[in-house]
Amino acid sequence: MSMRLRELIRAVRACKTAAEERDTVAKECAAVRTAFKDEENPYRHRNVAKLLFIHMLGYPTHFGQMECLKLIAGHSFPEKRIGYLGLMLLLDEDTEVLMLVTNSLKQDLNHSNQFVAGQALCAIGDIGSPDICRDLAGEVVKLVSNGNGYIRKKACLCLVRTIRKCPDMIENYVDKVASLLTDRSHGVLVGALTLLIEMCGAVPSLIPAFRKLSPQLIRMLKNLVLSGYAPEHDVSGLTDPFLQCKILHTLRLLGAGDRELSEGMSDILAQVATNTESSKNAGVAVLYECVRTILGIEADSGLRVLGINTLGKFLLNRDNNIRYVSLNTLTKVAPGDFKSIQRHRGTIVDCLRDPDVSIRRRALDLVSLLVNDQNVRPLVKELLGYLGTADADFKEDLTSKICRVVAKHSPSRRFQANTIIQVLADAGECVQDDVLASLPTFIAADNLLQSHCVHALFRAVEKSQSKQSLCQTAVWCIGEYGEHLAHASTAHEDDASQEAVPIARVTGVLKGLMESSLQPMTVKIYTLTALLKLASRYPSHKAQIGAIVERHQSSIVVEVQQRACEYSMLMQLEQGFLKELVDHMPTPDDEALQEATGGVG
Amino acid sequence: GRGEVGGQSPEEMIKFLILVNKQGQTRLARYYEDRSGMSAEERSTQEADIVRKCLMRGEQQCSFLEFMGHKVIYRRYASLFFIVGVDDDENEIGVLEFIHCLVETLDKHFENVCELDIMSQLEKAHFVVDEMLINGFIVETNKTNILEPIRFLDKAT
Repeated sequence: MSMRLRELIRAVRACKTAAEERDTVAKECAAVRTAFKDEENPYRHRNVAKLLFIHMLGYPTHFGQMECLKLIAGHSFPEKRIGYLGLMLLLDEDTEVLMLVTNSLKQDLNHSNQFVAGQALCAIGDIGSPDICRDLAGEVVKLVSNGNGYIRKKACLCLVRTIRKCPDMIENYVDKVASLLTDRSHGVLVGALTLLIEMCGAVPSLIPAFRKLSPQLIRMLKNLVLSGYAPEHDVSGLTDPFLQCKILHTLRLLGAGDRELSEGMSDILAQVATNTESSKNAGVAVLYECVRTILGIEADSGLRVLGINTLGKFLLNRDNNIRYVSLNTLTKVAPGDFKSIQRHRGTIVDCLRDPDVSIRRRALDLVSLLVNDQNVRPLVKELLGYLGTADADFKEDLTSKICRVVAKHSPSRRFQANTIIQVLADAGECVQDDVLASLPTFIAADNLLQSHCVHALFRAVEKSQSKQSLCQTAVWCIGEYGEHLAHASTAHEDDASQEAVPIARVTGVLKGLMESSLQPMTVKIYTLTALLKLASRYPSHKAQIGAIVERHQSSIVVEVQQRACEYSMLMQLEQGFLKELVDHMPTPDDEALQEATGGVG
Repeated sequence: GRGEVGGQSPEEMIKFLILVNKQGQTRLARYYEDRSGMSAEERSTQEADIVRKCLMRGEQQCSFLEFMGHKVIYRRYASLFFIVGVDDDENEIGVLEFIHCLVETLDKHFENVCELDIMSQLEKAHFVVDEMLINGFIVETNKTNILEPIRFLDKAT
């Protein structure tokens, strides 16, 4: 005894656990199966409806497939309807039994009742297999010219599937498109344009032929845009924005690669871009499609600028969806429309602060593309500004972008070094290994840079020892170039001079690192090595430095203990020998430098 | 053209349309691309996963996310998430507009539609969708045209 669908729904809702639901469904499926065995089965309609529900819950319903076919083959329209719905939901084009419905489909396509024919068209359009599409193509094509708009519009989309499944048949239908575009029904027009776009996608060589239709399309668009209030098609004050978008999409396809045609559509595109209201979503949808078309065809620079400026306005919209699509599109065209996008740089940079993380990311991608040799200083400064307040996820993206951008466009190695040092200080945990490795290389290349960097790094690590990569880099630098700390660094256009640092202060910081329980082993062994080097660079302080090192000869960390012992012994060596041992790293050759700086300097 | 266009690979406008509530229960599901790959169970699990992803996002965040290589566009109306999977190149704002059209049409038909309406008259909801979409492409957006056949057939049966 099977229950009504409503009862089943209620029963399922009442289930408190997944197991309970499984049981209830299983029981009902068994009842339905039994009912199906009965040829007469008066409740076939209701049972298939239940299967649709059960299928949606995620349970297998293969046993219901044949029942759908039986319903379709019957004469009752409500039963046919459920049968077709079942067909579309429970089967797919690979299901073997689908073939069996071909005959019913053929009959229904020619049915006198438009709704029956409509159902059949919908079913073919949704899940027609290549065989079914081929077998019934003749009928479908006839219906494309049917007197009834209801049938025509569905037949168009049915044909879209046909040509997808049987691309060899496309040539047969190309001529249909032109006549369909004179149709009065908007549904048919949308369908016809979808067909056109589909054909061009599959057979691009058809595009030149279809170009002849563009004057018609332009006129169509003009009518929609300039017509007054049309109650039948009005959406938020626009006349059929969906059709407008479809036409714009088609024009984009046809205008691409054709200068003359692109020029011919400039007027209407400019008109749409300028006159469409952007206060409602429907208007923005049309504007967006219009901009995509402007940027996709061979538009002149004036029109392109209009497109970019429209996107720029989108960035100021309250709706974050609109900001998002704007950033997305600008990123795609950034290389080509560099200059006109630069004008909106301020707004784009503001988006780095957007509450929505996907917008922040897109803005970051776009800003990175906008950096050039001229604006790198102010832009990097802005990006560094965000580093402090960025959340963990965004910090990583930001860090890697800053490093990449500065590697590519830095005006000088000094600027690059400064940037990386600040990144280390603010977000050291996010810095990639290859960036970390590159810094020592190019500091090593330049005397003045060495002096400046060791001062900057020393002060940074003196201020805060919380970032491991900063500590490591700073400590390495202090060891390697510590002698520069005894003098002030030279002033430079980018940086003020930094005063000399007494050695005691330096060793104080290093001592602090050694004694901190928060510092990882790597930092400590780097520090020991730095202390060894300093002992050589500042022979007068060897004793004090030696004392710091000695204290760790009994460290419980083997690596630290070993080094402390060995270095203590090394410090006993004769000065000349020690000096040679810990002499400066050789200046990197040009190739290594190129790699490290990413080509700068 | 410069930049994006293309139009080389055939695209569905809509690959799937699902209505899911906060608890991850699917109230309506239509799939328009080649779907022979997934079993009913797999699909159901995926639907719950998608809505979970939507739920994780705050009010501030935009209506687009990525799921298993698809671009997903969603909007919440009362207790239901209307979720649409599209191709990368689709006009997202246009899709949002279509979703809104669907909601308004359902609203007109069911008179202040709510989740329970969709649940208890599932086939009806499907019939409305079928008047608007075929194979993931828009076939009709005029509410009168969409609902006329449905009302006519309701009276006849």
